[in-house]
Amino acid sequence: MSLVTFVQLIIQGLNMGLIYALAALGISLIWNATSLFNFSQGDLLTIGGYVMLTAFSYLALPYPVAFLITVVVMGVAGYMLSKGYFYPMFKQNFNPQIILIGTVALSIFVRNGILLTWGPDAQTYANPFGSKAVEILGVNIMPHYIWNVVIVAVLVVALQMFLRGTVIGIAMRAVAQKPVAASLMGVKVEQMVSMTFLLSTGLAAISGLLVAPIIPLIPEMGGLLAIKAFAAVLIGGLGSFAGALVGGVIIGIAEVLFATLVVSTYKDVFIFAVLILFLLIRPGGIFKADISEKV
Amino acid sequence: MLKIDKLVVSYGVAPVLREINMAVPQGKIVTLLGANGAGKSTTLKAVSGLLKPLSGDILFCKESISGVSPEKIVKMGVSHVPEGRQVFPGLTVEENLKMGAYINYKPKMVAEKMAMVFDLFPRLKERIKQLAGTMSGGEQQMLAIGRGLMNDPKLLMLDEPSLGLAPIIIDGIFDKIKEINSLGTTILLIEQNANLALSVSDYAYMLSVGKIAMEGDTGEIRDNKNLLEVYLGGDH
Repeated sequence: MSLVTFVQLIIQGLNMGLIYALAALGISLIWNATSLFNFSQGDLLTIGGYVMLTAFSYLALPYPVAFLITVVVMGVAGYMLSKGYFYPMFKQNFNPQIILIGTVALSIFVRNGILLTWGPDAQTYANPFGSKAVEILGVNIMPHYIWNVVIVAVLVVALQMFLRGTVIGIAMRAVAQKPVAASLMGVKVEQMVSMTFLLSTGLAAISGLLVAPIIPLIPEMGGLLAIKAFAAVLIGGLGSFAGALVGGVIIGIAEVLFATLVVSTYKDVFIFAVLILFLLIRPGGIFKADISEKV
Repeated sequence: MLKIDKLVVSYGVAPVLREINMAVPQGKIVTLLGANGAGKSTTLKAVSGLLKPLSGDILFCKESISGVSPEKIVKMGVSHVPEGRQVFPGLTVEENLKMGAYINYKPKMVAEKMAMVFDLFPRLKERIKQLAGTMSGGEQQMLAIGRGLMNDPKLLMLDEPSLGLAPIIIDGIFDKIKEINSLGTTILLIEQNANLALSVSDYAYMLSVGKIAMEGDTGEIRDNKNLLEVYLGGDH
């Protein structure tokens, strides 16, 4: 394999990895705020793709407008999900397993809702960045690869600025670390948890709308994507910001390399083998999230 | 400033506080003594709104705050520095202090208050960018108290500020508590270490299994060595 092909594969993997990383970041944010997983995360990601499809393709809105609408709609949905389901359960000290099983039910519900609303056929929308590869130093790169990297980079920087530079961001981190102490400062814990769900669902929706031009939308697509995002979180380190990014990129690149160099049929099996290996050798993940770097 | 009237608080069916009466006059340091499990922390949690009383009343500046939400109580000017410090370990000293001013966040006021806290605890200024979780117990206690001062409280409630600290550090912290009081903040102090608490306070209550067993000026209480021993156990 030539160096050029190799670089192309890495770029392709990086691109997919960043999409996993966004979903993984959302999972880590929720883990820190509530010590819970949301197994419907993948299906929220799928809805994100479909909302984008509706806004961009059916309603023919300009890409940035459709993007913004999708993020806002899904962010609000996440906020409502927290207010209506997670926080009330959380506050009543329900057994975490019950809350988790509820999210599995929600996932099935959402999937079938999508089926009813948008139908079972694979759908996609035109790649807004064009499908003509540009050549940079002899390497052919699809324009959306570059754009996806830019979009994710901007998001990550903005998210860091929000979490570290604003009072609400600091309060969200404070609630994740010491909820009772935070409420003594006058922080409304419920509001911060709901804000976390808003961010997390918004991030999932963005990965959904970025992935749709690459993998066509079907109602159950989010399942496998979310499992890979969970794998990214576990490999990178549960609750770590950097871990979610690095874990996502590792999975994206490993997947593409394995599919091209070995056999594409078993690429998912390979990813889960890598995950099991990590769980055996380094169960805390690469960036064992000590409290100091919790997002 | 603070008046507790026939307060009853229970966890489930077990009453923890049984009709206690207390008063904290403006400008004073009042201590609540008692052995482990007597209900000291429960009293503070009821005042700061973390626990809802079953019956009785809590008046702050003549207004009832019984059962009111914590954020409203903080806003009225009550700061609760909880047991075991509870600083945010993954936030820097600066971010912790900012959280203390969360309820009424105005950048200019935050800067002023922070300067005041740094005057009181210069050590915190040296550590401004350090993560709170990486500091020593004494420094964390300074931070917890400083954080409690950031919202400019009328009443500062301190839950066992001596817990787990070396004697020399404790002396320093208690000097600062007196200093904070002399700057005009009323203080309600909880301590197991009776001698230490009585050395700084004006008035003391003794809580025993959910009831006020004894109260008086610190002098009186201190002279009553036998009773202190009965209620606190050990030698005081």
